[in-house]
Amino acid sequence: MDAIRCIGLKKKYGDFSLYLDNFVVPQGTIVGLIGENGAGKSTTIRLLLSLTSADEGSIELFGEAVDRCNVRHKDLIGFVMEDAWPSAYLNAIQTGKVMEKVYTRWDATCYDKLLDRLSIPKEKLFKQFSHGMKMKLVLAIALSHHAKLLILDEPTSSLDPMTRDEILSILMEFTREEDHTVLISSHIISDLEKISDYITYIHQGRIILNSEKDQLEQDYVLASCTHQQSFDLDPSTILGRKDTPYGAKVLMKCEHVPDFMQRQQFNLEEMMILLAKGGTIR
Amino acid sequence: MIALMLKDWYVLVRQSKFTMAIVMVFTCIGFMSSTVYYAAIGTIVCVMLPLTTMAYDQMNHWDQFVIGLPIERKDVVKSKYVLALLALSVSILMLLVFGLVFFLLKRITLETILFMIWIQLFAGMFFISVNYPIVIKLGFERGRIWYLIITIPIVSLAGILNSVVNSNGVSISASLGNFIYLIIPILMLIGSYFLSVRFLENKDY
Repeated sequence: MDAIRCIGLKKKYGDFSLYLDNFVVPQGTIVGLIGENGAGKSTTIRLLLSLTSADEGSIELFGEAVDRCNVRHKDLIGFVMEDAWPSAYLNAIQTGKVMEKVYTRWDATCYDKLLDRLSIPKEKLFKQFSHGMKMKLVLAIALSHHAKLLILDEPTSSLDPMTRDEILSILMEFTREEDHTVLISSHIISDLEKISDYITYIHQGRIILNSEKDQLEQDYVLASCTHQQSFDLDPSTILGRKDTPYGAKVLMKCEHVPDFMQRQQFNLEEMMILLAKGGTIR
Repeated sequence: MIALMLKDWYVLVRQSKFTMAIVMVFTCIGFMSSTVYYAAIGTIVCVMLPLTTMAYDQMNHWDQFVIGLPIERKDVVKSKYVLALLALSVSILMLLVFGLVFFLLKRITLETILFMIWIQLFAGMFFISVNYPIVIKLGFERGRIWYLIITIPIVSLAGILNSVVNSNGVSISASLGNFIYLIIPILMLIGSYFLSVRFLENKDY
């Protein structure tokens, strides 16, 4: 079963339009959502959490179509969003008491343990927290009501490397349960490389890549050659390219790479940058 | 909805001690001078408290956070209206307590207390009915301009009427029959609630 399925989902804001057709997050996996600023990652997450309504299309959560008021499904979802915070005038204990009345399966013991594990002050007001500390508290809330699905928008931004690592460990622990799923967007692509099973790349409101992470390394190649050699390549095989003073780096599918090209190791970040450039020559 | 009320309670306890002191002072002045105007200001300050929580919610992005929680949007609106009515009840209670004290001191009549309650209920419900949908629809930043446009003339008019009544030597009196007119703000309040629910349900974040 899929934890999330978006069918023909459209949302338009002025000049920007998001279109997600058959975007799927399989249950029991961690899906990393990548893309540049304004690509549509946050809009996707807002649509999933019903903060905004789609112009067209539908969303299914856990195999069921959801309407704008999906209270029953939201009880199974933990979330983190950049511009959505608990009340600034409550401390962590008071916030916990409020959440106890919000979620049907709130686990006060789990919440308390997470506050300790993430070194979150219990008596300090939320408005006195640093940005990183705020993020940690929201994560603690998301993880304390036995959610089946976590939807996280930039949860590790503004966190120090130690805390980021701790958060990633917690997320991996979360997915030990086979029906637990995580959709996570981040600009820190190295984080996603560590934990994701699937990578979905949104560019200008469209999904241009949706694949198992391990499969990416098998299917795609970053190959280098001289500028002249690169101009002789079939343009339809070039998924992205970058010109350097020493030659050209070209992203291609494995089967399209000619023998004269030198294959290189690449990471997701390089791939994202090259795909965004989309074959244009700089 | 209980969760939302609890959250607002925590916020108000922390943030509104000074405001409650102002309400008490205005109510007291109202009785000392037998002036309805001051008591009405006390009421408006009181029903402004939930409006203040809405401002805090929006400033600190709780308004978006709450939409991600398993809470229906209509319950978010309902909690604010219930809180407003509770605040109105507190102001009426204060008025009753002060009223009885001044009545025992033989400074005012029971009719004056009744009249003040009537005015408070009317002013309070009118204020809630007009301002809450505006703030929900436009947000506190833009909504407060409309809030000022609507509230200042109403408060000023109440002040003018009060001075006209006083200068012509008309005694402040009320009968239980006057309370029938409360049907107007009650209907306004019900309409306002449904309008606010509609505004919030159609709102995109």
